[in-house]
Amino acid sequence: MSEHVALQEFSSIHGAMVEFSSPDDLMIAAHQAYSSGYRRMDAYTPMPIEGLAEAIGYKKNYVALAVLIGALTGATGGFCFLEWISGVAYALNVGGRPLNSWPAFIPITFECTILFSAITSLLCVLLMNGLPKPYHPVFNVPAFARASTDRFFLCIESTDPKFRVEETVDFLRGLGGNEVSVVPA
Amino acid sequence: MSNSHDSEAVPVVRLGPGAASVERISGVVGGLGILLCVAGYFTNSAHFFQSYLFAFLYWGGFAFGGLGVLLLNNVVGGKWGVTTRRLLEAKVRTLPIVALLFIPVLIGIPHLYPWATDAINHNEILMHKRLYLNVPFFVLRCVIYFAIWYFWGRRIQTMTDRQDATGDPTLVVKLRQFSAPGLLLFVLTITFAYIDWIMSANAEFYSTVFGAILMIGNVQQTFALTIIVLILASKQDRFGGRINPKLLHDLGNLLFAFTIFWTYLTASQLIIIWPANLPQEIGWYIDRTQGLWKAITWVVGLTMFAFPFLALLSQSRKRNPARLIKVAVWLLCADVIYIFWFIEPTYRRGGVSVYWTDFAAFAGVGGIWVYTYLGQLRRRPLLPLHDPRIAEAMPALAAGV
Repeated sequence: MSEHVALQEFSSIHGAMVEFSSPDDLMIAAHQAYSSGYRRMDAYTPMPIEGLAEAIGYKKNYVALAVLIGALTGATGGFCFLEWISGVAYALNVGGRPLNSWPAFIPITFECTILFSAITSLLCVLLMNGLPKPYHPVFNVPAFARASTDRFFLCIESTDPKFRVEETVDFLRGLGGNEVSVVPA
Repeated sequence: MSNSHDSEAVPVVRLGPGAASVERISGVVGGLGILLCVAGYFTNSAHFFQSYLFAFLYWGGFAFGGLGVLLLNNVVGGKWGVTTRRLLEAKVRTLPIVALLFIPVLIGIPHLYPWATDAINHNEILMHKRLYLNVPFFVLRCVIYFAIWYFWGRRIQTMTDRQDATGDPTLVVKLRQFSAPGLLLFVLTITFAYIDWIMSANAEFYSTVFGAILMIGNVQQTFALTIIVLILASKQDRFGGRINPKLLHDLGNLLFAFTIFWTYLTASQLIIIWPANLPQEIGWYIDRTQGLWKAITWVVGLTMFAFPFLALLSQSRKRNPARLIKVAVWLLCADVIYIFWFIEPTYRRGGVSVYWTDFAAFAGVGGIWVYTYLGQLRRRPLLPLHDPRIAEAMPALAAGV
């Protein structure tokens, strides 16, 4: 078969990808792939689909924890900074108020909490997603352009221990999608 | 996965025998409490009215908060409000009883408000407020507040009753159109009411967020009670998977949001008044930092903000009925201390004193309110039968993800 010849031409392979026309089909396929033992895979859809991440084996990530740590750092940092300014570095008596005027420090403490949380979550988005990423192999498949409009893709990656090019392509064909392609790296 | 569009009929669920016995017990507690209140009135009427105002504002808060949340949901939408609508409506249906329970406050005016005493002739600030703060106008305003709240609550329920009977889809729009001006009026009237009922107890103090702080507290308290009743009533999955982690997550988030909103308003008032340190305003905080009141101020900060805030940060806690209900119960208990702290230092200056009438009034008003609430709740099905927006059934309830 011509495809088998074609497969040999790729020096390395990113994975095998199948296209679907509806999110429900993709969802069923994702469940089947996961239950068949595939673990390293990714799904690409034009809009968020509830439950899809869990279906392809998404586990809890550490964004929430990282942002919480960022928030606590911001809160304690901001508050201690103000205490240091007003209590130590520039201790001024303002209208007889105590140097430790904590109610007046609340707004800055709050702002620092938000600022540090926002910066942490931005860093999480970039680092945990491996961004910026100028090149990604899935775009080597021309049909993939429709992933941002009306097609739904499931890609099993070659790093998966169970990945064997021909076996995996056959498995994906059996899922009832439109077209199965091998993704060159 | 939730593509199961809810085509099967909404089950007609009513409260079980457990609620009926709670209703009976609270009726008895309420009756005994009221008898003790009468005794309290004759032993020390000044103490009694202070206690009664605290009890009234705590329990009445559910009816006011219920009306506010009902109006809000009718305007902005959200499945959480459709699925919990009967619980909110039952709170609103207690308004006539709450209005009756308000009468002792009117009798207590001379004991509660300095503008109704001889002080008005010696205090220049009070003299200037005479035109607004006088007994006939106060009573008239209270009648207007209750009339407006009752009218809007009543009309909304006539419409939802009709929706249950006919399933007329245009009613959703009509409810929205009717509720929008009601929401505006509600926020205005409740602000005026709290200025009258609580802020005017202090001759000189004024704060523009005063009404909003109490209103948002009422809303938070309403969400807490709604979550508790909903989780208890949905045991054994009688709602056919409608009280699912998704809905609880929404309600938990709202409880979280209003906890933050309450903190925001409370902190704003402190940040503005404390640094300014003006004699007319700062007295309110001085009253609350004398003696043991200072310790209670910290307790309020921790129980109303710090603990619930940290507890509700967790997403899994908001989705788990057994864990969410604990936070809701915690907040209802914290609210008792908070309302006590909000009202009583104005009367009990210099240090904390607790009178036996505090407990009697709390039990009396509370018993009667709970009795009325459960009675109203038992009358109608717990879910709206024909609202197109009711939460879809989700089979994964038991997992409590």
